[in-house]
Amino acid sequence: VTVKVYDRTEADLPIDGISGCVTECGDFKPDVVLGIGGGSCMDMAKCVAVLLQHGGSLRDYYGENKIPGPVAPVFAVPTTSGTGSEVTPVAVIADTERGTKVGISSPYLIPRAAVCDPELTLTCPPGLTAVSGADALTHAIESFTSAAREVTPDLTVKNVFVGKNVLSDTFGLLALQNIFRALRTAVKDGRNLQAREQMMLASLAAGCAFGTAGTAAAHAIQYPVGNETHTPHGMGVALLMPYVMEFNRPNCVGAFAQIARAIGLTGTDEELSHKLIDEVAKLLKDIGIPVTLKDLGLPEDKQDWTAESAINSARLVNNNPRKLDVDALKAITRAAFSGDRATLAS
Amino acid sequence: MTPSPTPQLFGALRLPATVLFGSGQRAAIGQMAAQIGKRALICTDARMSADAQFRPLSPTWRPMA
Repeated sequence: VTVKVYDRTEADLPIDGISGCVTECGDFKPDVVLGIGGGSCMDMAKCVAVLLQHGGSLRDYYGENKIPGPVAPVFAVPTTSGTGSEVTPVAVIADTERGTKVGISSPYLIPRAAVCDPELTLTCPPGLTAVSGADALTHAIESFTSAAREVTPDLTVKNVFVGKNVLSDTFGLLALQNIFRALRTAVKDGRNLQAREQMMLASLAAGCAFGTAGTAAAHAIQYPVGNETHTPHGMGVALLMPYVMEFNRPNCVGAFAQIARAIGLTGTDEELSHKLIDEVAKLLKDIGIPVTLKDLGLPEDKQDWTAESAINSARLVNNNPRKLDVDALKAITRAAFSGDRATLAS
Repeated sequence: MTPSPTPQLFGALRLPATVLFGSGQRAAIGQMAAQIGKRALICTDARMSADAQFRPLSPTWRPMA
């Protein structure tokens, strides 16, 4: 096999870098595109495969189901445990002109093969291990608690993301069991191969879960927060998770209790639904995730703007287990800004 | 418990044709690529670039620290 290496993939995947790679490597006419690295490198391979096959600009493919047909085979080889991009139908890029991150989702973006070798994560630094693991945690919780849809024969034909279902749930629980077992150790002692294995299994499983079920409120709110603060995606979604869980709890007592039992907690459903939120908050604190949007650097006067921007992510908003309107998003955002989770309690 | 809004079990998964998991499985990448074609483009970043030249497709690839 003849190999050409493009090694200038940038963090956050600016759109110009992708077209630059295609211009430089298109004449090589690859039979397979490998993405080796974190989410950006895997998403780069996915986007390059799309442009090699269908041409045009990536802007033509923003949103859901806009890619017209199959693309060149992609092999995804993660070197962090977090995005799950090795198995998902999603690529996230930075549209530098618009100053925002944009998602492209289509089943054609699912790699041909995912090769997850935990030894590749042994040198991942503690901060990146924490943020990536927190991203996987959020994928697992948001997919496991996503709204179940009315089941129709065209549900999976018309939609990339189809909400809570029995198959994604299995992967969600597998992910959460391993995250609670291994994330603290993986952050503290990166050379611990067992913890690295469990975390890579967790992020893979979380990817399998949200790749069909989808994500919800924490992701909707993180997009404007990330655009404003330029903080890592995984850090923002994880920070928001306990607040979103507190808001969602009345509609998720059973699902939260199921997760809580899977990670070894005991009690009634009602008790467990509270305990789980505390456990999630404790885990995130232990691995160094900031607790408030204020700590993350969100300006105080941007709280309502954040909520008003988040409501525009209609797909994520509709996937939330408890109905979201602008007022609800404002309440979550304000609680997350001040660190006052109790204001959302019900 | 909140009652389930759907009366029947429903499931959906869309996944890669091949998912490999485990320490050392990277050694399979070269042969897997050879089954598909003759030319492979590797997209990676500066952190990986030092050992990116050909080595990810070699069965003895060990990434540099």
